[in-house]
Amino acid sequence: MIVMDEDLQQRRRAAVRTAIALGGLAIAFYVAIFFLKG
Amino acid sequence: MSEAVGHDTHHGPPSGILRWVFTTNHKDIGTLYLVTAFIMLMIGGLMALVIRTELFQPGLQVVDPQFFNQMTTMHGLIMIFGAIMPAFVGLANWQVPMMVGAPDMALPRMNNLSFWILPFAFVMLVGTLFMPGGAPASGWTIYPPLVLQTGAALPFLIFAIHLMGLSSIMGAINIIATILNLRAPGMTLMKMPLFVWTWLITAFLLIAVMPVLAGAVTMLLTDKFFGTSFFNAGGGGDPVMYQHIFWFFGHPEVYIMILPAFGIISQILPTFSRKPLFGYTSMVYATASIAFLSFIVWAHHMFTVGMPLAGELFFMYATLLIAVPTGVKVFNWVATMYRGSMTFETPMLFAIAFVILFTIGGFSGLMLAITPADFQYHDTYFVVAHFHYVLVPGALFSIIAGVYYWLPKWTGHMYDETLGKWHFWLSAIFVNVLFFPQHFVGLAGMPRRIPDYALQFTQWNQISTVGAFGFGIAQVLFGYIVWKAVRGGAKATDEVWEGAKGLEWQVPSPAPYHTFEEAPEVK
Repeated sequence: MIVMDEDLQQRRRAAVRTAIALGGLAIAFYVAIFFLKG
Repeated sequence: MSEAVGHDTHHGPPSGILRWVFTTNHKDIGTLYLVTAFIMLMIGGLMALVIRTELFQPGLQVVDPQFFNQMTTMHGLIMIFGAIMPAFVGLANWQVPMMVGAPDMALPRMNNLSFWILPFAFVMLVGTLFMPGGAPASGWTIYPPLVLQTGAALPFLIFAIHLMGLSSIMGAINIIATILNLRAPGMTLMKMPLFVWTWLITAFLLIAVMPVLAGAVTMLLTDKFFGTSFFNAGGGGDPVMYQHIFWFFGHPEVYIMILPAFGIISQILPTFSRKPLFGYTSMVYATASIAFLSFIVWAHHMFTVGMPLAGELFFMYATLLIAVPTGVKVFNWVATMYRGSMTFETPMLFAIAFVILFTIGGFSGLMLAITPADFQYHDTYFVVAHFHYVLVPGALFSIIAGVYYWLPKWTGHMYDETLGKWHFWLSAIFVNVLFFPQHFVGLAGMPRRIPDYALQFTQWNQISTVGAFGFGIAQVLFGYIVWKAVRGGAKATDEVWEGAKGLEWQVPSPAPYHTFEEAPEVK
């Protein structure tokens, strides 16, 4: 077992937040398509 | 929380099959992507050979027209979603963490899931060939109402596309999160290697357009099975709407398959020219410009469908505008080589061939962008020649160049340079024998996606088929060269190439299972 650098821990948490935001964006694009009008 | 538990650094990879099933290591997952992409390249390539065998002579020779259409459809889907895209993701997995000085991808477990979704999707996709009614036969664009005539395979096709899209979106999220959050201290955005920049922009494209494709195919599913009429004119829907939605995905998809290629070439040319990349900043802005423009040109695929004159003019001019940032890139690559101390190892040969042959594909793209000319070229073999020049000596050559370039770093062994050069020359000659004649038959009026043709197209088709078999055999040689380098060979140095610059060349060859557990300082 090793001790992970605290800075790296924080950056990993920031990465998870980035991922959640991007995932939300992808879901929003998917839903938006169904509201297009021909 | 300073005592968080990380990976145990004192072990190598676990052994056995479970290593590959449960791995969260970016290098292992990169290898899985690349091996899968090569297998799919071979399957898609065999389908291409069925197509070319049928087209060796006019008339129906080998397969019936329905199966021929299944081959064109499956070849396109497999090469795009199964070969080119996973290969680029594999290269990103291997290289992006090492190039930015990160210990791994930001979300390693999601990385594992992103990959392992794919084999199921591919089995389902290829499995449609054995279902009642056969595989989808509507072309890779799967336009309704034609695709709704598919038999039992339709829901499997749609589910496979959903899975492939999900995998791509998760992979893209991981790449963005890694680049934005895990760069080494001192690695500012404008110090990132071009391959990392192009992948960052590509990942945003993926997140923007893969959900659009997923939405479009979901609507196909509900139209077929749940009584909706999104694309059914009889129920108040609009089949042309599908085409707009599809190409809103489809055109950025083209750049998803070429921007990482630009990145690889921008790594290789400076190394073997022993000069820094000419115009780094303009390369970054050109990549971003191409990505932006890719969202506003989709209807150039639909000029013959019909649209207002203002629409035709807008999409024509917007498309022609892409030549400007692309021209910046080609200029910069040539300027990088100009007066450099060039050597011509296999990665450099493939990179130079890329610059020349991709530019040919770009020029034929300009011809197709001109609306009145496109009315003549649309749905002919000229279009097939155009996009194969962009995707084969373009995207595929860049992937091959990247594999040769980084293989010594991955395996610790140099590949066989003599065989590599044989592979290059066979590929470079046969790819032109294969695709250049398709320009001629296309301009003369030979339609695409038809198993029969008029007699006057025979000779160029025969030459094209000979080229296809030559090119296919050359890629088997590529598989052998890589396999041989994995098994052994001359020991690679850490720097590998004399002019190589970047963090990945500062770690030992082969790259240790865990790299940069302590972040390097970038000056």
